[in-house]
Amino acid sequence: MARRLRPNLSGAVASARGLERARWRRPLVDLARSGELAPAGLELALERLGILPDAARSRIFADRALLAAGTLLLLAGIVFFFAFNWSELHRYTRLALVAVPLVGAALGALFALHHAVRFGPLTAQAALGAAVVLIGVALAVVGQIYQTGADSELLFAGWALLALPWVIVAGAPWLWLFWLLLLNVALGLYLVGRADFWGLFNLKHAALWSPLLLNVAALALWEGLALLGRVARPAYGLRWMALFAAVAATVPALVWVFRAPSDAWPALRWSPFIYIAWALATSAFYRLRCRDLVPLALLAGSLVVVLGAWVGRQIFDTYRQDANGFLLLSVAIGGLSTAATLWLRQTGRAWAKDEAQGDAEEDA
Amino acid sequence: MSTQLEALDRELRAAGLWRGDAERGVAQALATPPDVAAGSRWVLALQIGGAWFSALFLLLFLGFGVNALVKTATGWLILGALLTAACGAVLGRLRGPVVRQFLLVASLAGHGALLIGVVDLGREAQGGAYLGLALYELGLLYWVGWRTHRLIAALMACAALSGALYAWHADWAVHWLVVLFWALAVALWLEEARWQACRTGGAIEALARAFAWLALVDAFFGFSWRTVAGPWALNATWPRACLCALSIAGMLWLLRGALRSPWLLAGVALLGGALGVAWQAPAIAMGALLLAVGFARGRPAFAGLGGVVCVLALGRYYYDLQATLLVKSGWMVLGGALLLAARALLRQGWQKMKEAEA
Repeated sequence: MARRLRPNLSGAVASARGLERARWRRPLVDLARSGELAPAGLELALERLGILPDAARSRIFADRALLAAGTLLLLAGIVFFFAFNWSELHRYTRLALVAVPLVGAALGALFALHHAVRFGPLTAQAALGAAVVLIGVALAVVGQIYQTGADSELLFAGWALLALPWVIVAGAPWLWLFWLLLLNVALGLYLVGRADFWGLFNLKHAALWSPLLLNVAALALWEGLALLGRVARPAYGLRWMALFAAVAATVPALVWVFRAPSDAWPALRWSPFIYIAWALATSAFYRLRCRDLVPLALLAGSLVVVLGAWVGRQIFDTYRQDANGFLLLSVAIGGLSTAATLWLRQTGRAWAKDEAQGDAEEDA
Repeated sequence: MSTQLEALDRELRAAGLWRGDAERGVAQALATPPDVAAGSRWVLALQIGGAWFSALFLLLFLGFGVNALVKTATGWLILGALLTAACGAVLGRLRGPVVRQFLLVASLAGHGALLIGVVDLGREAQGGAYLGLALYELGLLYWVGWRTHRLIAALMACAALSGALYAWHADWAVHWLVVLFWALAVALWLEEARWQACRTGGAIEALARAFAWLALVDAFFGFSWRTVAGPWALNATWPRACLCALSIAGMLWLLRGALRSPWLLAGVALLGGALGVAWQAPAIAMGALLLAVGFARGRPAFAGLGGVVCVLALGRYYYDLQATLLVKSGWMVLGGALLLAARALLRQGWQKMKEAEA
């Protein structure tokens, strides 16, 4: 069990190639619709360029989809079984009932790991993922029996802490994402739940920015390790993390836009600076160092939302416009989204030009 | 990539499938790399999201600002028709992203004005008006050759058709309209190879998307079923069963080439059984089919949507099913066990096939 599953780098590379290939679909369809390519030729081209999956890829997909769906359904059944108020059973029986699947998942992972050739690495990862979820169920059952406040941030923080070794052993990007989600939920519950007397001590500095700091730090760590070639860089993982970070940056920025004069939270005045710093860092990294259009699109979407909200507040609050204000706001949002689209298109074209130049140099 | 394109070019010429300029060839036709950003779904989502919000505020301006001029349902209908027709005429000629974005905003506001006009007509006249709107939108769908606008027109046309049936108090027919939409969507996506190369392929693609989306939304939220006798109405038993059966049939059609051994046949039968277990929540089977079709046709966004629909529909099924939590969790465990057993059987079948080939 101590043997850590190796990151599946080939999956990430295949995913990137798939995305690269997928962009040829539209030009090929246009050629077919203009009559230059016969309908059968279109299908052949889609197959040959790998846009349509071959039998081997289809088998891998069916295998993974069935494993994921089956495991998730089994886990959901177990989780909802404990949601059932099963008062007739003794507390030890209930604990045993959650411990048995947990131990079963761990043994299953061990078994699959030792028979990796027969089962493949995914089965072991799925079993470890099931164990991670069952840790949360066990904590919830303990909370239910002993009334520890099972829905508090402590449950999720404890869950994340106890799950960490399993997540490290599994080494699966999707399980790391789930772990990060647990941390985000714990942090969110802490921020919402502690907005009371204790909030005077906890929230006056940078607490509202802690989700952004957490997600940016996780993203930076993952990107850094990926650049060093130590971990896989699956597009979906980093894009989800970029989405978490974008949401965590946008919400406090909107709080700043709609602040009232009576808001006395001292850290609020720093909001624009932190937001701009995040925007510049994201833009610089994903444009110059690690080209990816999706985090840039998320950044652009966030800017449209924040700037649109600011313009809206100026129109209706500062300049007290009536119905005409809606026209101004409509034009402003249309303009902002157009500017964002143009920027993304220009960036994409510049990258494509560089790639074409690189290919030409390679061919030469 | 260029080597791959050249090999493809040779193969297409040899098979006589290249009908374009003999000197040009497919490799040269695709020599210019496609505009990645323009084709990116994320950029498109940003563009459409911005346009929706912008159109919402434009509609609010029209609602408040033009209130003195447009007071009747006919006024709204004329305003909407003028806006959509004018935008459609210009959209067909201009291709710049800035112009298109603002025209899309104005066109969306026009569609909103048309809807306000139809609703203001009163229930008696609404049926015919919705039908007229559906026909008008079909005209726009064919006429304006921009993908985003086509999708909006197709969605409006299908929704207006449902609206007409509601207005005529033919609620039972709405259930079957949803089944028809799903049947058409399944047939169109499974046989995409037959129409995607046609000149009208763009319009058909928009319709196929609209059919699928509306059927999924209806199956998930149960819009048409609620109107008959409350949530998950018993009257909708047959349409629900049909939606599930259509999805399973679609899945079998998709997998027909793989059924080459008893192991594989048993695996697929178990998969069908797992989907059939949840027939009361057809969105689960529909999402699963969308996932499979999306993958088979190389459309990752479709596959992702199917996965999300499966998860959300399962949650809804859990809450809406009239049974104890114990029974519900039992169904889920059974479904999970069936899927894992199906996987084991399929793996066994693939292994046997590999051995036979070796």
